[in-house]
Amino acid sequence: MSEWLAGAPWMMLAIMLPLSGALVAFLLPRHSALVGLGASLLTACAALVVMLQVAADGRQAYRLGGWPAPLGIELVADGLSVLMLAMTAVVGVAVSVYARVYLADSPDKVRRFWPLWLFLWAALNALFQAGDAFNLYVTLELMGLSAVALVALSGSGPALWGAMRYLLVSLLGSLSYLVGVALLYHAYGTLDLALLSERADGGLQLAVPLGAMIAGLLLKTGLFPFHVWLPPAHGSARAPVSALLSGLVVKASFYLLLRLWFTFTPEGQGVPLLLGSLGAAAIFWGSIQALRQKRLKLLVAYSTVAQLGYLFIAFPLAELEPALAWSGSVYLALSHAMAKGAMFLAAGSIMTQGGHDEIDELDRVVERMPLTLAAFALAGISLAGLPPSGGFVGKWMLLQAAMTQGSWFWALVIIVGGLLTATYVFRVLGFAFTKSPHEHERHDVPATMEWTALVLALGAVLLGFAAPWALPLLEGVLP
Amino acid sequence: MSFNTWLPVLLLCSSLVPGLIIFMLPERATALRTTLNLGGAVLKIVLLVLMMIGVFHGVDYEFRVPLVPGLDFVLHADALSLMFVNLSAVLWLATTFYAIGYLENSPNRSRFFGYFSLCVTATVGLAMAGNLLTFLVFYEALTLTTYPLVVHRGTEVARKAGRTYLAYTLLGGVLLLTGTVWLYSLTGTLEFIDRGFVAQAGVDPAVLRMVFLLLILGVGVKAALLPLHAWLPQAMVAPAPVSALLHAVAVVKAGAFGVVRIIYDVFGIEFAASIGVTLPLAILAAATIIYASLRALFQDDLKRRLAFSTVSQVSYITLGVAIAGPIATIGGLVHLVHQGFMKITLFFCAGNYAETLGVHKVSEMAGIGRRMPWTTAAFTVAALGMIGLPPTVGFVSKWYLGLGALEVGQHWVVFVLAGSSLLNAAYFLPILRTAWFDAPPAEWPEERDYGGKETAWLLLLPPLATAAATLVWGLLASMPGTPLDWVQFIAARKYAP
Amino acid sequence: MNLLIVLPLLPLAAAAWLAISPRFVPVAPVAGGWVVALCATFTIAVAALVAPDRLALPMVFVQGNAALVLDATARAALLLFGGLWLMAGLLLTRARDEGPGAVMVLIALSGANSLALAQGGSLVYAGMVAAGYGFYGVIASEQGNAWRRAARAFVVLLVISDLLVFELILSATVKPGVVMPEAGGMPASLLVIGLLALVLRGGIPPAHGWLPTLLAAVSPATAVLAVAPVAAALFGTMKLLPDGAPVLALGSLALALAGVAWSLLAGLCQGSARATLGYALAATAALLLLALPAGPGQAMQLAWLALGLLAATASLPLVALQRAGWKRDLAVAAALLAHGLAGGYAAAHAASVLPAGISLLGLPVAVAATLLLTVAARRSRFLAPADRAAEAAYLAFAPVIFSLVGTGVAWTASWPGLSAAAAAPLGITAGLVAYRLLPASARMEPGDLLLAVERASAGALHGGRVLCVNGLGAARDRLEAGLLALWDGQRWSARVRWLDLRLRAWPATCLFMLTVALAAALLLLQ
Repeated sequence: MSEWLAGAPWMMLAIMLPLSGALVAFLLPRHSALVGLGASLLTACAALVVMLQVAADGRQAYRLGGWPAPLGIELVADGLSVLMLAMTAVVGVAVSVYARVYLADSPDKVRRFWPLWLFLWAALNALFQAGDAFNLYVTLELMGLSAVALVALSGSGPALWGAMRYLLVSLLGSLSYLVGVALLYHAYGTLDLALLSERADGGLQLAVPLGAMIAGLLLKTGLFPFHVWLPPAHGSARAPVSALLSGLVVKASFYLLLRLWFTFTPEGQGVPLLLGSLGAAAIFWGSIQALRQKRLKLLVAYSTVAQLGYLFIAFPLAELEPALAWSGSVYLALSHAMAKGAMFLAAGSIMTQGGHDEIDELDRVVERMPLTLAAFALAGISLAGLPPSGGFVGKWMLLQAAMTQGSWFWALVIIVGGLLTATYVFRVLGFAFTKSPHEHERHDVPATMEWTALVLALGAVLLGFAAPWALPLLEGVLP
Repeated sequence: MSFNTWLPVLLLCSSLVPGLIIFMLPERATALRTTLNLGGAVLKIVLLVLMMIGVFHGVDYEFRVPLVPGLDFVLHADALSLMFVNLSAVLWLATTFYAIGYLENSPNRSRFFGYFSLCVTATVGLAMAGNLLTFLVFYEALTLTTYPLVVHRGTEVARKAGRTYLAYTLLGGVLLLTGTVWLYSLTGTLEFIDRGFVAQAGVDPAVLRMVFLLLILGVGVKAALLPLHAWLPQAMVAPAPVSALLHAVAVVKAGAFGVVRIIYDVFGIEFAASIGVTLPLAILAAATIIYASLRALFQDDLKRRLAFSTVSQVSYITLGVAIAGPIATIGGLVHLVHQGFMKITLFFCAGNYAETLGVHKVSEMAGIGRRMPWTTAAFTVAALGMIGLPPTVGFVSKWYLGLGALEVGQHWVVFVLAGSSLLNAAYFLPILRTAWFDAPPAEWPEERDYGGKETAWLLLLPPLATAAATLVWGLLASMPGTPLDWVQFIAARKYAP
Repeated sequence: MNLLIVLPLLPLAAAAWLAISPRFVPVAPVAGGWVVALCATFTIAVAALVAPDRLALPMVFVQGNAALVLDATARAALLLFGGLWLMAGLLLTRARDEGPGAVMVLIALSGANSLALAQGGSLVYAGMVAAGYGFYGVIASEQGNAWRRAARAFVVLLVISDLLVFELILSATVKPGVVMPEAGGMPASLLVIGLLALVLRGGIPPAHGWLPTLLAAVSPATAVLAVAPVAAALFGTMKLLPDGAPVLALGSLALALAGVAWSLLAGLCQGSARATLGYALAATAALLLLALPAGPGQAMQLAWLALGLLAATASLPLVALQRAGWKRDLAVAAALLAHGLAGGYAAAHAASVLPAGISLLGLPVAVAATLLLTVAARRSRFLAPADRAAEAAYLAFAPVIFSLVGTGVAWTASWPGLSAAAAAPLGITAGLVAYRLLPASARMEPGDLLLAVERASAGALHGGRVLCVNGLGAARDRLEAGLLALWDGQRWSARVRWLDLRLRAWPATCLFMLTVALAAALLLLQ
């Protein structure tokens, strides 16, 4: 039994399970919620097993149909992949549990949500395990399209507008990436990452495609100044969708960027400095905008813009302290996924309860839904990098990398960014404790929604203690 | 892992677990909540006594899990940390009693007591932190758990006060974080050890001075050192037990304790003195003492006056530590405990006045001693202690501070102490005079009936108990088992023999 | 249980009992008066009957040298305090609606008793503090508002003096080789501090302003007790500077001369007997200051002289309660005689450390003190209601007896020479003459310079308030507001909005993208 379990193609299953779940959910619209939940749990299990395998035996590869790399499709799972898989699994399960209750009173949305979401999950898992640049492109495109559809799900004017913009940006980004892929293939005759990393030799034939790919991926990640599509899309989607977009989807393109970077390991300080500066600008601009928002979901969305900036701070720091900087960045990505997921879920609960998400009018939410507010606060703690959260560990490593090499500018950026984050998080909390002069109608919120957000947020905080187990996985993956 | 390993964790959990359970309790489950609160508090004291006996006999209590690569999350119980835990635990018990009486029939009690317990957990963790990283963890946790208490009333004023509180404390946290990371990148370790770990690292003193500045500013926010003290008077909008806790035990003391840790266990006092950072710190503390006393002089709001008094008194601890002599160390450390007991008494009494008679201002306190003699007696004892008069504990602190300063030839400190005592007298004695000897008004602002008694028992007993401790420890200062005794035990370890 | 520890604790217990038991509230003055008298009697009894004793209290306070000692100084002090409080207690039993609160009186007695017995720096300090604040409580528990000015001045001086005493014992502890109270040889700076503390808390000119003001404003019981702070200051200083301070003999002579001259001048210009008495007390205190540098001497004459001088002074408020007649005359005569003799002895005692040429300068001080007391006695008018007079006739004898005892013990213990007796006749005669020549009229405010000092300090206080509240506080608030305005000012917000709109435009996005792609490619090429 256990041998069979160990021998099962878990990497494949991690993709096929959500895909077939999506099909079944599409075909059985009445039971889509149940099917969707079941498929989510199974997918999460599969992802977990892959992670355990990698943790035990190191890098795993699986050949679809048994053909070797240049011909067939090869799935590859290393430490970085499984961390992303696990992140997707955790956030995905939480969102699934939440969405089942959240969407219960709008059956038409349920019908469309589950197939799309499972499809998105399949695309994500495939992306994280893809071993060549073209597969990466395909999965990226699939992911983008399903994400756009999910944004459009809510059907409201702003959401459709946001979805449209998201679609165009997504296409533009993919196009740019595709151009890069095509040029690469032209130059080196292969798209397999492992082979590419052997053959890549620098020069114009590498620089141009790489530039195009980086630009495309930055656009899809929503790094400043390409963040403009992000707040409308994330802010107007339904809460579980926002959680997915902010938590997972943007991470996928970041992952892709990391992969490319690790594959080609470009020399020189120019590009890292460029990326780092954009990251710093994102931190400041996103935080300032978040501070100025009047609506809770927009605030959280802008916070995503800011936090994404952090991930790119690692690039300039990585030259002297690669291990610290990259692990810090990856760890930040993980904790951001959980924290931001929890935050959007909590925001969704607050919105359901009060029928609005005006920050000034939160009106003692803390008394009516303490759990949700606790979730929001805990997620905020992780975002702001307060100890002992996952965000703290990530920022600590980045800071340490910066300080060890004496890069005061980056250290300052990290620190001030954390302060700004805390400021906007606590701005929300302050109003949540304060009585508002206006009366608002109130709705009951199912306990499941509150608890899901809380558990996810707790996960983000306790992630800080998981670092000693998670970080060794990255050994060997990082350059 | 043996029982001794888990004892620090148990100590932490004795308030953490009740706190978490209390969050889940419905508002009306008063009896269960009270039981949990008091049970936790008593359990903590029992565990603490167990550990104190152990530490006295040389047992090492340490709990360690890895957190950041290369750095552990360490809970370690040494004599210094147990002193602070002791202060927190005992005063937590007193404050819990008081808060139960104070908040009777007010809304959101589950939330209040939940955060209250978490706040004490953070304080205890901070006390037992075995390295600077763990200290930082709990330092931030303390900020976060006290914020809901500060804004507990939910008014606009409370929100603004909370904002100020956070602006200062988070800034402090960030400075501390920066200093910590910097130090780690310089020395590669953050473990607290007696007489410090920085001295062995062989780093450029100029850099170390910068690190010291960052760290001290970081903890100085909570310790309310001069330019960073403004949050404290504003945080007075919180309910009285919270103010009591903030001022006497948790936040302010956490800052002062941080100063102690940084000077003794990070830098090592001899080394800190050798790179010339202690004298500026002492001067800053002295300036804080005098400035805050001057500000206190002209406050009519009782709690605000007490708040400025706290700013001033807490800097005694910093001063004592920064004077850098063994005797002054005793004075500073013992003041950590002594000020806690005195100030908590004052805040309990201020809360009693507000709760029983609706009196919030000094100018409304005429003749209050006749209406509430016991409360006012406790207030008197604590106020005399603040001035530093025998036979209260304030005298003992001041004695050691002065003696320590003279011992190392810092004569100016004695003048600072004298000036501070003078100012303390100037803002406390008029209160005492008006409370005892002026004619009471015909009607109090907002009198509540306690069936002919002075006030509720739960409100009266805690201040009386703490005031009695203030008096007894001051009078019998050389008795074994007093805070002074324990502090002498600590100070002996912090100086090279 | 040692009797010595009971002495401070008994009045405290009695005070607590009075405070707690509500039954005594309506009759508090009367019942309280008896309790006070009983406690005082106990004090006197211990002082008179118990053999010398020492009770070490190693756990009390920080130095470990604290002890309660019953020696000659303690005996004299106990007799004085016991006598004063006995009088006060008895007066309280007759008080209708005036007089201090018995609880406060008892607390002050506890402080005075502990001071009398204390040994070892910090315990003495504690005793001085307790006696001082206790006496402040006694004044403040008086009815009405007349006491306020005096009490305020007193407490300010007390606080400052406390600080000096603290500094003294602190420095004395830290100086190597100086362990109080055994060894001598304190540095002169410390001695100066000690004397300064004595001047401030002992009502010695120029810090005497509160004494006449106070005496002019309070009930007889408090007036009797007003001698106590002077005595407490003196005994405290004697314990802290056990060998006196011969170095300072000249300085204290100058201070005493100036002080007595000033008291004499201001005292003669007073209208009321009580205010004159205040100046007499100030002059007596100055006389004691003069004698202090010579140290306690053999068999502790200084303590006994203090008993004689101060008890005589304390009898005068009681004299005012007596009808004119031989009893009153006898009491006054005996008191003046005792005062004069003790004063003369004190001057002679002081002369032992003065340079030979000016050693006689002490005598005028003693003469002037007695002179003032005589004038005060002569100015006393009978004011009391009839029912008090009966006891008062005998009451006034009690302090007189204590005074005679003190003077007698001092004179018999060691004979100072007949010249010391000259002060009594000289002083009394001059006093009588002065009374005849200078009729009582209020040509000078009681407390003379106090008003000016009050005005100056009120101005300083106002300035401080303006500086702290309006100046510093406002400056800090402005700074904070300025920093906040950097953050959410109007212009700032408009600029951010403008930038946001620009960033959102499609052309901007495309342009950025092109730029980033090209830049990345270019940078990668290098």
